[in-house]
Amino acid sequence: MPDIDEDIMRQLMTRATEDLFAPRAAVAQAVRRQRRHRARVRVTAVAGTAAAAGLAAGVLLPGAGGGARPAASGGAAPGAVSSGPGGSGSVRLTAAQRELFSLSAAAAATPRGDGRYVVLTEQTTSIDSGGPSGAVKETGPKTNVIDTITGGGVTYQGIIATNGHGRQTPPTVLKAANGNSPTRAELDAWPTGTAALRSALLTQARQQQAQAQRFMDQKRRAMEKQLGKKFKAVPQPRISDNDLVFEQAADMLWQPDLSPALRSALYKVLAATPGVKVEAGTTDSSGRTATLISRPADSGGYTVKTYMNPRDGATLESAWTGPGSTFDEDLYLHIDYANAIPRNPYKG
Amino acid sequence: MDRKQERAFEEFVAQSGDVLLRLATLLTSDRGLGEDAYQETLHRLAARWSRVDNPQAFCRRVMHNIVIDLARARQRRPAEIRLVDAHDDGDLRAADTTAAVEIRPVLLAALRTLTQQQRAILVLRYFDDRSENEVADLLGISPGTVKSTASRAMAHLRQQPGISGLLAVTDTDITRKVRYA
Repeated sequence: MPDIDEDIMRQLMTRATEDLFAPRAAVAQAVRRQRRHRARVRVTAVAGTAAAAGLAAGVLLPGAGGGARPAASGGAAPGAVSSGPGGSGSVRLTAAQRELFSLSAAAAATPRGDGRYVVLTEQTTSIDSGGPSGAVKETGPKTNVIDTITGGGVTYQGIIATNGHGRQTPPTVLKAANGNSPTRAELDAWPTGTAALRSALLTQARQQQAQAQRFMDQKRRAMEKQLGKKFKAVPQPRISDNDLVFEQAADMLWQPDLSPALRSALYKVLAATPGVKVEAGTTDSSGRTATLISRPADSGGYTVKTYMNPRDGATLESAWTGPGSTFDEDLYLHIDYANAIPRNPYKG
Repeated sequence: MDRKQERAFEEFVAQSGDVLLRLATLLTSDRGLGEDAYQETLHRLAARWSRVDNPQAFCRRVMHNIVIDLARARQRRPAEIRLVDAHDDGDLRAADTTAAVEIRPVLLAALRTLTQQQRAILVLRYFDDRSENEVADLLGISPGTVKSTASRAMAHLRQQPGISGLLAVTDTDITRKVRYA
């Protein structure tokens, strides 16, 4: 009786959503955003052409264009980032690339902290849009202690979770297993040449994708076994190389315990990635001077934004923004080093 | 968009917004994500309004892509534990909110066990009342695939404990209520 089931499905879908009304504000917001967008289009179109020209020009040198600081050490000197046809020897850096090289130089000149444990204090805002009144919002300070030898650690939470019905206190201490964070030795094994680092980041991203694919296949096969039926495999979404490189590099910059050479190299990889937007002289949400690096994904749908400290190239804040909302925001309050695990600062 | 086009856009959303939001909720099987997908669909429609001939078809195609992107963005975020259960309250403007609130979690949970393509096909085919050919055209697949996927997905849903309960128990109840509505 397939017809009856389909009819009931029709009714269930209708009934299950009949109390949903579109928010009025959404229309006005779409119109407003469209107006702003039109005003911006001309500017970005010019900037985009300039960026493409900068990349195609081939050899990129530090200090060109006046704005970049001189490279701090031999290791930090940005070498040839990309070479393409038409590399006539002319040197042209886009404003974005100048800022990225400036961050690269600042990172290379900042030594890594001293101590076995990294103590990260951050302010977290994460919104889990579970429903209209049920959107769960978690805010509060959090202290991560990372053991740079084992990759394990502990997290102290002063977080408060709220939804439409009140507040709850999540567990205050979470233990991280060894290997949860990369160890210092693992981080130091990454290459620090621009091309080598880019391809290593890409390899890692592809491995993660393959792992996700295997996981999906496993789940599908388990379901087939259980139901005695065949299901078509769902292919993994296609993500462009540049999307993957940007996300991996931005993620890695978020790691507090990078060597100066690796942090410096990551900025050079970003400078060689098309579509990266850089805004210098802005401030993060706690008012600190920051350089904002962002890149809308080629496939659309979300943007990764990170705020960097222009003085040492460290991450200050990062946010994942998607259609109409911000998924997650993490704000680093400070990063310290210690030789022993500190006590829970939120206890008592 | 000039002023006149803005008004036409607003009129289109006033007429179709509710259905689009309901579509988005079913396609994502999540109220919050549904709102995000709805909002983003409007943004993309607004951006191309003057060049779109068939806004209804455009919205459905774009929404399908957005839902895939959202699922992916979600999947690639660092794993997190939900600390508090989200509550799903009914909207008092509806005639009968209790039925919606009772059916919704069960239906959405069952839909979440399907693949995105299976879900899109069922939602477009049954909720949106599109023919097999229309669904095939919207999703860029063959009508044969629509037919076979729909029947496979229905068979799968019948195996879900929650939904099979709904299918069996609320059968007459639902049919009766809808007829009187």
